[in-house]
Amino acid sequence: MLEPVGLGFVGLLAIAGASHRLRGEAGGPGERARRLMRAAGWALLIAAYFATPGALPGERAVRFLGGVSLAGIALVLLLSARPRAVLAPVRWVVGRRETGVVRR
Amino acid sequence: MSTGNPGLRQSMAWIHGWLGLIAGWILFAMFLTGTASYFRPEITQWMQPELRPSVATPAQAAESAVAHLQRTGADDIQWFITLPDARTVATRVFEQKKPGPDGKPQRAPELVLDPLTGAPVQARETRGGEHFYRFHFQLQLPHPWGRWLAGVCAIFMLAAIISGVVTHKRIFADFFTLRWRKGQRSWLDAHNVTAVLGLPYHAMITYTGLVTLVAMYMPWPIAANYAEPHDFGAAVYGIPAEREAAGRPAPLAPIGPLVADAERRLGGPAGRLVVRNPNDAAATVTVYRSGKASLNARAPSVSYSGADGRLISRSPEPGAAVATAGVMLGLHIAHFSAPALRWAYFLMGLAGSAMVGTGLILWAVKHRRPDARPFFGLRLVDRLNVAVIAALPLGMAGYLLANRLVPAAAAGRAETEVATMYWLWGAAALLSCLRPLRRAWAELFALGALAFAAIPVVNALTTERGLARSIAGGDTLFAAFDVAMLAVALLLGFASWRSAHVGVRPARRARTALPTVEAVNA
Repeated sequence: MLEPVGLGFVGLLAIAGASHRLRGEAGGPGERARRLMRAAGWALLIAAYFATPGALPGERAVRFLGGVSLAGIALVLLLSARPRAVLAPVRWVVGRRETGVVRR
Repeated sequence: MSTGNPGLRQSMAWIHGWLGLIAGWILFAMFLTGTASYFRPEITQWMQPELRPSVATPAQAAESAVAHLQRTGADDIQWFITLPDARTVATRVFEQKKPGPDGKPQRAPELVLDPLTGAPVQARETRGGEHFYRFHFQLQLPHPWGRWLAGVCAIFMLAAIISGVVTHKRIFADFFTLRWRKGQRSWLDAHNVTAVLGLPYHAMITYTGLVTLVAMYMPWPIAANYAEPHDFGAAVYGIPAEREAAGRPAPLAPIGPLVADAERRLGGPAGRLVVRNPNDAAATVTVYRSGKASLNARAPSVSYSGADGRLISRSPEPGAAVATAGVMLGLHIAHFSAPALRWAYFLMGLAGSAMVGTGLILWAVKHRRPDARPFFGLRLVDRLNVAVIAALPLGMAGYLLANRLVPAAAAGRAETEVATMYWLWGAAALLSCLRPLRRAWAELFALGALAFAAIPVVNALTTERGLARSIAGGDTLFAAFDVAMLAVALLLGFASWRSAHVGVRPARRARTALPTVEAVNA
């Protein structure tokens, strides 16, 4: 269950960072960065599905949905309490990217 | 288009609110007890601390059980034997006795046997985790009324899920939104978060719960096409025909090799077996595969002649409809799940309970007016919310505490344990009506927290399997159970603290200053 919970959490975190409501806490990413984050989040969710083990036929889908749901609830609880701390990795990525853009 | 959608949303919101309210209290109880049922065997183990796990293969357990039954019920009509596995420590046996001299069927109690020796084990009488499991779809009502009521509530739940999705127009915008201390908005956020993020689970568990009992809710297709329900079972699941005894004695073939052969043919461990007409020339032995080997809970079976061990039949490969129904049942009861997935099911079940609970509270908060005295319906909803959301966990703790406090040898102790849950639940609900609403919430949650915290203490004082000894002795199940009780106690303690102390943060803008439960109830 670690795979869907872990990858699902990071994927949802990226999608949360790209959301309009949390843009301030996510370091104010531009529209392009938000699109990229959203795409990365979905890619991570897809990766979480394929990384989820399942010994029985159909078990992978059950584990994936359960794990991602739990990751989502945990993320929302954390965001409701400490949004800036939770989104610090997203801010870091946005900051590096923006710096790179400036250099170019 | 623009004139049609708001109407649809409003209609759906009305349906969502009222269906959720009418069925909400029963649904909350179903969700909470059903969630506990994911650990049904573990709860039963904890409630029979006298039993220790013993390592036996299904074939060994079957042999020892049959050896015991040969001594006690050689002329029975049928033996039903449930074999132990990693989650159950004993073999459970039920005998269908021949009718007595008066022609009436004789009832025999379920026997609990040692898997290795086949000897009856001496353990306290209890319903164990089975009580929560049965309650979550029978509601302690006579058959079939409890199941019908549960089914009606499940239909309401399904309709509430669909109407809730249609109603929720900002489903993606609010996906990560949970705002604390903002009164009605906070309750709405909490309801939305638990509902939307757990939507796959909620939809699955509601729909599969309905489908599981669909043959009871809609028996007419089977009644129209089959003379007897057993004919349907034989045609669909390959259940062997109930043959009459031949009346010619014939010793029963050794069971162990039959179970081993069945496991090889079925590709998984045996879960249970049924012996019909033992020690008769027409005896049959049917071995069912364990439900843990597949998502499909309808396990395949093989049948042998009990007289010579010859293979008679194998259940047919299920068609698409039967396989789908079996998988739906499997998804609902989750017998296939390993511990991690079972915990995920458990946590999602708690999220479902929270979704229903926050929905009920939200209804009350929405209908409260700050300057007006609550109308009768609102006061009723408030009190029922306390009676179910805060008092039911206290009753459940009482059930577990009674298991340790009622003497192990007391007659009818299983019924006493169950009665303790309902008396405690009912008394707490009634007494809470004497207290102001806000205090009733806080006090009942606090009592629940105390009761759950007392469970490991009472366990340590009344058994030799307390938390410290369990940890030291590597008794994982008992240690985990006690830790889980402490975690529930912490959760309820937090709920009590929030109910008693947390007010509303001053709103930044006038239009966000919605009344809070706390503010109104104070």
